[in-house]
Amino acid sequence: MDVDETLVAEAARGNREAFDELVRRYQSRMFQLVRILTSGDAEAEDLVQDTFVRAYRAVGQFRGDSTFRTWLHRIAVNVVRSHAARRNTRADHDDEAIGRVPAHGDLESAVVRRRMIDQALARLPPDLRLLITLRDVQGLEYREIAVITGLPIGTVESRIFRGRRRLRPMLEPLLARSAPRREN
Amino acid sequence: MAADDKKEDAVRRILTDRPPEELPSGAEARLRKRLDQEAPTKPVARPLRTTVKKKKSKTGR
Repeated sequence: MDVDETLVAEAARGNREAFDELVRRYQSRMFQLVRILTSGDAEAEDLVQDTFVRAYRAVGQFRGDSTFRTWLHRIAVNVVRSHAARRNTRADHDDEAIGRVPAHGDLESAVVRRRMIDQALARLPPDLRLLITLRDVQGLEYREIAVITGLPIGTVESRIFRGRRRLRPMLEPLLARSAPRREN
Repeated sequence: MAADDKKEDAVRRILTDRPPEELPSGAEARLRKRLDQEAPTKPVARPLRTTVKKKKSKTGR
């Protein structure tokens, strides 16, 4: 049994401390996911809270058909979708900022790099943005993404490939700076 | 083709290395407070297994 499984089993028995530990392990990742999917929505923190509240209510019924990580991501994606449907708008990203190319030295700054990446992701259609974020930012496996989205694994793979191609020109300033990593 | 693969790999690497943002200050405490308002989780009672006695076959050998 891995750490998550143990914590989930405890949380399902009503052990609140175990659930708090799951929150500590996943809150940052969920915040990151929600921020990207909503293009930096100011309500991201509320949406992350909604995600964990839903998980807390349902953890007693968690059957372990998938990992807790997959299950939690699925809840977060549903929370974001409901939020988007309520708002009935596409993410309100800063179009003006997208066209702005940072000065050469600025690309070293983590904040600038993150903003550039997020702005590029925000220009993708929502379905591609979701898949690319789950795979490349969150580091999930293709089969986990298939479970979360309900798409066949082949579709997940081909859409991620397509998404990366579309991102290429938008990330060009960062691509020019990135040197291939040396393998040990 | 190899150049294409390299570029795709570079895109993937940039995304993988996206600098994570920090949680807003106090976010964990705010979430804990919200969870405090929730009723404690109750495990679902699973139905007990009942054993069904099989009828003895009359066709003895």
